[in-house]
Amino acid sequence: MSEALKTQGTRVPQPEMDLESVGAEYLTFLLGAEDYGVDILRVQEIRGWEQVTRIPNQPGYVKGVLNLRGSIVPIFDLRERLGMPGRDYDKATVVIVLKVLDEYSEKSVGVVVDGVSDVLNATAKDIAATPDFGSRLDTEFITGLASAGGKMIMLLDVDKLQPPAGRENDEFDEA
Amino acid sequence: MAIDMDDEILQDFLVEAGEILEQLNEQLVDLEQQPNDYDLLNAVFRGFHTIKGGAGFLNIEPLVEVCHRAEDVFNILRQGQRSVDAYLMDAVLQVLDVVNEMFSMVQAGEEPNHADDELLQTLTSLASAASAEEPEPEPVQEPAVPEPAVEAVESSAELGGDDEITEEEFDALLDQLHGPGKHLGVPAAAEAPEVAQQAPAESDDITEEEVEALLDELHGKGKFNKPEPAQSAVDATSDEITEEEFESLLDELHGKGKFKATARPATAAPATKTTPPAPSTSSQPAKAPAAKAENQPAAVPKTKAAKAPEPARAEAVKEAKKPAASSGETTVRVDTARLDDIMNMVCELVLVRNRLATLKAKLGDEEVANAVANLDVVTADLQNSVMKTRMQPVKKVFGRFPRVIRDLARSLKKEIDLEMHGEETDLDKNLVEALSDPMVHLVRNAVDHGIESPEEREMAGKPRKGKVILSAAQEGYHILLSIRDDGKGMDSSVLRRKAVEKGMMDEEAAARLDDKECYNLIFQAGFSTKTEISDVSGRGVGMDVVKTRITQMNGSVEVDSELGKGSLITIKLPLTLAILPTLMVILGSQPFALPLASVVEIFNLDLRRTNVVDGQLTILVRERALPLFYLRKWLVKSHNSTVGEGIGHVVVVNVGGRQVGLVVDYLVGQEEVVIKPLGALLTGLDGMAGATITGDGKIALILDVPGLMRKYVH
Repeated sequence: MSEALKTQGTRVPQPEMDLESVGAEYLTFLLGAEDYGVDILRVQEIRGWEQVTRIPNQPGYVKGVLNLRGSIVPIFDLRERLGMPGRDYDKATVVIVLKVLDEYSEKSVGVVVDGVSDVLNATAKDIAATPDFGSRLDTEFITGLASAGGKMIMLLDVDKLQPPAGRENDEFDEA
Repeated sequence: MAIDMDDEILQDFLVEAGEILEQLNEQLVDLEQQPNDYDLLNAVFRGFHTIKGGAGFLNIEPLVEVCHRAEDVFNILRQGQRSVDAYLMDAVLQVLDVVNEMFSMVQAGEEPNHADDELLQTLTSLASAASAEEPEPEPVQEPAVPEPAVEAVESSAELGGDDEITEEEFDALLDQLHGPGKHLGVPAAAEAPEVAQQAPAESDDITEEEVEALLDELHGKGKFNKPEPAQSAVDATSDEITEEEFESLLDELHGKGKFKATARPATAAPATKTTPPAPSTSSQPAKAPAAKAENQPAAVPKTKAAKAPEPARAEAVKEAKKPAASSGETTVRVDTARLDDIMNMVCELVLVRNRLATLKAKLGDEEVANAVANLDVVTADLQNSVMKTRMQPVKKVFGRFPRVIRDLARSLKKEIDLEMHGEETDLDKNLVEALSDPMVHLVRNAVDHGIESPEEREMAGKPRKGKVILSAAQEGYHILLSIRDDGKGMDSSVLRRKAVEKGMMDEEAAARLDDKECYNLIFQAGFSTKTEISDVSGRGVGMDVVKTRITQMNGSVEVDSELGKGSLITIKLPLTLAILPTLMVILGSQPFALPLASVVEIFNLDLRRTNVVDGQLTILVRERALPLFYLRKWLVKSHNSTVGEGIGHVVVVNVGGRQVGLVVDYLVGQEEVVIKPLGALLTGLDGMAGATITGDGKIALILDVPGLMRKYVH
């Protein structure tokens, strides 16, 4: 049984190959004048902005938590997460709920963006490596640049959105 | 991978062996106390044997080897050729550790390593030291130490017919089958009261499958014994029986005895019915091969004996199903993950109920109100029943302590008696697991720091033997666990001095602490009064972790002590982890939940009674000054903190033995909430225990009061 599991575990989808031939789809959205994209397979749902429950002592980009059908989902302001100035939310403001993976589990996080625009189909040759943006924008979140219709779209690494690994668990004095 | 046998068989073995190992742990320690308890010896012997049998079937060589030698030792003990002493117990307990280790490796699907040669040597010498007293020569020519019964048979055969030992062996064997005393002529019916006694103790562990299996064993046993002796008589001259064959045969016999032992509780009714025929069929046949083996040790037919059980078993299955079905008293083994799922759903249901209850108030319709009230009752019942399914007796935690105490006492050269009360108290499964480590730590501390050496005790005019008392009891919606020792107790002045030495507070602050607060210093990180680090305790890391763990479970821990008389540590825990009774409060416009466990009282804020002392706002309540904090200032930053100061309600909470007053804007009331994790995506959540969804669908944050105090007060 465990062997069967192992083989299942090692059978990873091969995104690189897909990128070469078919390409991947990206959901693109707006932050100010800039276009961003995320892997559409990571998008769980898109919902309009609604008031969230604020949590004390959180960094500015954490707007609060949302009740998503019984589970608690943290909401990040993507502008602030990426170091851009925030702005007031309006009717176009949406929350994209993304699936974030770490070694152990899959979690959901909502990001607030100015508005969603399109779904982009990009193959590997459309995607260029991330240039140095200087200090204005933290490039650690960007996996690459895709050009479509004369626009440059920055592709976000969803998993990098979560804060760096938390504290370690207390260990017992196992004397 | 060597351990990929039929999964089901392996799983059954793991479950069964796991239970046996747990029992062995207790039995061995008991045995040391009562070395002449024959029943206990038998039980231990049987335990090792059953594990060996299962391991042999699954081909787990190292496990078989070590169990086998342990079994040898106990066989010698059972024959009274050696008595239990501390040296022997050390070796045997070490065996148990090794077996446990192997067992967990098998559980992880790995092939266990062979046991330490030294240990095996010790065991062999323990087993052979006694046999040397016998007239028979030790059969050293056998590379693998043979099964004791076989050994006896063989050696006696070599000497030309000394039947005594084999007789004894088989008597002992029959013991296994019929319970002690059976072979002395106690009628089968005498088992009935035994059945009744054992029933409550073990009934919850038996699955339907197991019941069937053991009915198989009961029937199959009787079945296979009938053909077997007949054939053995016929084929008496056929090819030699191998050691393996004989062992598997013995396994059948022993295994059967074991199964019966567990069988009784679950199927009290059918078991008693089926038991009487079993001995009548099996006792004689069992003796028949015994006699056979004794006269011609190598005469039991190889092929037939092995084959006979198979068809008999198949028949027995059919037969066994009938009584099992008719008794209707079966239990089912359920994956805990499924239970957790059910618990989750019930939790969601509780939330929906809460939401409906809120709507009810809005609608004001009587019919709706009735329906909701009904739902309320049903949900509460459902919640209770589901909670009960997850309950496990505290014994699961306590069970390991006799061993822990024994080992510690020996290594620290102290003499300690352990008393346990209320082991049958039920606790949520998660709590049982989470409690285990902190409890071990506290018990170790009681032994290491609390109990004095026998000499010191005598000088202090106390009995040489120290006493540690563990107790558990349910009190309303809480479980109280306590660890009491009659050791030297704690000296509050030493604790004060230490606190100052460690730079945890200045002298003045230390002097202000009352005794109780001093004792609670031991829960501070880095506080240890032991000047040397022993391998038991003294690093000052443990107690604060104990406290943290227990706080995480929404419990509290308190310590009390009397110098020279002993210490008492009390842990108070909620019955379950999943659903938390809280007090809902509102700060600004946001709801927050305070765990009800820590709430002491509520009153209206009266500014006339407040004073500022040492820069700290305090309020006088019944002649006592309580520090007062505005939660709003901590938690709702956007809220203008000066607005509304002086109005509100004070919730008095208990934090680590101290009481503080928290000012909130509004009180909503008591609500049972389901704790939902805030998740790893957020950091800086000190002071937040989680979140929950309130009756109106909003999210309320659950506050962790001790965490809040840590974060904001110091």
